Amino acid sequence: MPSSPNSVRSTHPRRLLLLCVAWLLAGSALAEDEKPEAPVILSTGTASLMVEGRQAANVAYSITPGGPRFALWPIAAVLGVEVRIGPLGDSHTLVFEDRHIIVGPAQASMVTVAPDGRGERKITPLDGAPIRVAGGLMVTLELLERALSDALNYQFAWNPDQQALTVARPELRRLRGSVSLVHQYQVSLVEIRFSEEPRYRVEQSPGALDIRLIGDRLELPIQIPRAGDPLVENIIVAPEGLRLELADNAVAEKPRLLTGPVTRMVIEVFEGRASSEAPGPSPRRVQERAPGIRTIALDPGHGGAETGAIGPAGSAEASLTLLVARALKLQLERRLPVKVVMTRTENVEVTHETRSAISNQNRADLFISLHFNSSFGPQAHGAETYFLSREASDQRAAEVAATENRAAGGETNPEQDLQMILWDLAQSYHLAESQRFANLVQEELNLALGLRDRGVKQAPFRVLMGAKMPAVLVELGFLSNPAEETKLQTPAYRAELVDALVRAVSRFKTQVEARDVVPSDADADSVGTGAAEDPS
Amino acid sequence: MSRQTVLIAITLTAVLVAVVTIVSCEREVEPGEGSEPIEETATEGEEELEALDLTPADLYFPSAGGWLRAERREVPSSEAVAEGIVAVVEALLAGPGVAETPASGLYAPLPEGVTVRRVYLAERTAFLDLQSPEGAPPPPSGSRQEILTVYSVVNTVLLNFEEVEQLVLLWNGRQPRTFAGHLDTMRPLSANTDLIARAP
Repeated sequence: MPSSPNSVRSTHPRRLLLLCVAWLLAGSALAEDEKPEAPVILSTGTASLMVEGRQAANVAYSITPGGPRFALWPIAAVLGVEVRIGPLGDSHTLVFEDRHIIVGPAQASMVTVAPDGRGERKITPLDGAPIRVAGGLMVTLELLERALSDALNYQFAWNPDQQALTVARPELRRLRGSVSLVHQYQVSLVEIRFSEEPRYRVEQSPGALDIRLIGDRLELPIQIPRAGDPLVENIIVAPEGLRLELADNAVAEKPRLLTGPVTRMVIEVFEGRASSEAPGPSPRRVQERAPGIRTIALDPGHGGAETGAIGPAGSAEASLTLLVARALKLQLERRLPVKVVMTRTENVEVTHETRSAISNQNRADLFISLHFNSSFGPQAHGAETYFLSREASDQRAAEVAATENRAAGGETNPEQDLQMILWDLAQSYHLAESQRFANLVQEELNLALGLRDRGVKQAPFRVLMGAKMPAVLVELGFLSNPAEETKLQTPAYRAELVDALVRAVSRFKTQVEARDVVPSDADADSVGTGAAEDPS
Repeated sequence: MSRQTVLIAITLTAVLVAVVTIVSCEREVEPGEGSEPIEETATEGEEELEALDLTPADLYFPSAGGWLRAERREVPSSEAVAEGIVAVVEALLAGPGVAETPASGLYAPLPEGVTVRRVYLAERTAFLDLQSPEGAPPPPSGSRQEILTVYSVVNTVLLNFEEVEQLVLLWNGRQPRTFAGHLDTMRPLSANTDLIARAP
């Protein structure tokens, strides 16, 4: 849908200046020898601009050794695209609702930015640079297609014999689709599956998010998930796209399109920000987190029917982790200026996704999952601290596995697939800090208890994947070792473990708040991945 | 002796020889005592074929020390990779060759009764579906034991079949999120040689 000048919000002069600066920066990003010289104009003329089979206007053109160039202004005007010219008369900004595209003379590239000038600048190289003439810019066919095809779904063709530049929309694609909606602890996840990769643009407004297909149409009917979601009040599907109607207290993330065996769009909807506020990224994004360690999430491992390890004397891991977590909460809140949230306070089963959600929704700054270990045989003893291994954040691999399993006739759980996406990649932003904290925990445990150093390790532990903060899993001892089980049953011994953990948190808090959180390469190299020596 | 008498004698002799020959031939194909050597021969031949079809494989058993140790075993080989995987995993599930004692130091990775339900391949990813008696969930354990259990199977498959790069573990037809509450099994798993003990 073209954005008519009337429909475009007025541009603040600072924003326009910002866009121009962005364009200038794009130009400067090119090496001098990459800048094309001004092309030689071999001939000029006037062509017919044919839109959907009808002559809409005349457009000046120039023939150059690099191909024809066409006057940008009349083409944009006919197609309803606003063009803004920079203060120096060079930069030309094509204004669309969801993007601004900036081009300029002698620059063989175009820059795409968000309408507010923020976010990532996308620089697209072009074969030929525009030429500046008295009437404005003359641009290549390639630029017209790259700038206007995606946004408006127009295709361009130049017929030199007939002196005609034709503009037409390709045949509409009919896409099949399906919509799913799950809600889990203050987060709703909308998944839209498409039969083919759609071309679309997103429009956000208070209380709603629109996904408008460009040149494609959805085949109806599409079954809509039942009502009752606390954050997504309604999903309206039309051939032209979908609209999510959000609750007053909901805000939607920008949709993510995941391509792979299945093409799907995923939209996370969070609770928290009033819809009257300007739409934008959720306040829960890690980049916006205030520095410091103020809130700590303690995660007593296992629970309920999921007992975890059972020692030879009958100690259940799930019960012991809860005991230690309660004591640790008490000590942390008593000795440090922090708030502690627990992922469970009773001996009940809690999913990994819910544990992540509780921590994320409480905006915890640190996540500690408490566990007790077991192994084959009674010898193994000591504490281990884990942070997430990098390969565990390979979301695409998981999707491929699920899809291929389905294709091979295996059973799958669609809701499980969705939950898998819900928390993907969250921890991958925090691996360095997680490693730093894991080192401190292991150090304190070894010092306090004289335990054999089993080292800091990495593993694809599921409970760590969804944590949007530094996160570790601590194994405080082996229940399969009878001597260690006996000690772990003793409150005094558990108190020493708690003391060690408090000291580790305190040191990490001090480091983070002193902005000393970036690990060196040497730190990264020193991480053990499970060296093959007998640890018992 | 007349010429006629000689001719009769020769004829009778020929008939006798023919009868004896026929009878003795009939005895060879009769079931019973005479047929046993043929069956034995056939059995010996099959054993020879089976012996030829055995192939060495390294089975990675969890050890008491908390690592995986390889035990080389002869397992039935197969041209089909999926069948080969079934053979090595069945051998692994059957447990180490020496008794499961602290002295042997090696353990079967999963409880007795767990079997291979199905193996299938998608390009270089194998899907191994394990079945437990009466649909029981995977055994509860601490993380180290869970890691050893999972990678005992993963390493045994991936380090014996170069055609397969990754393994997806299923349990009673479903892909579990974890086996015992820690390790993510929703993703295809690669071999982890860091878990293999360097020295016996």
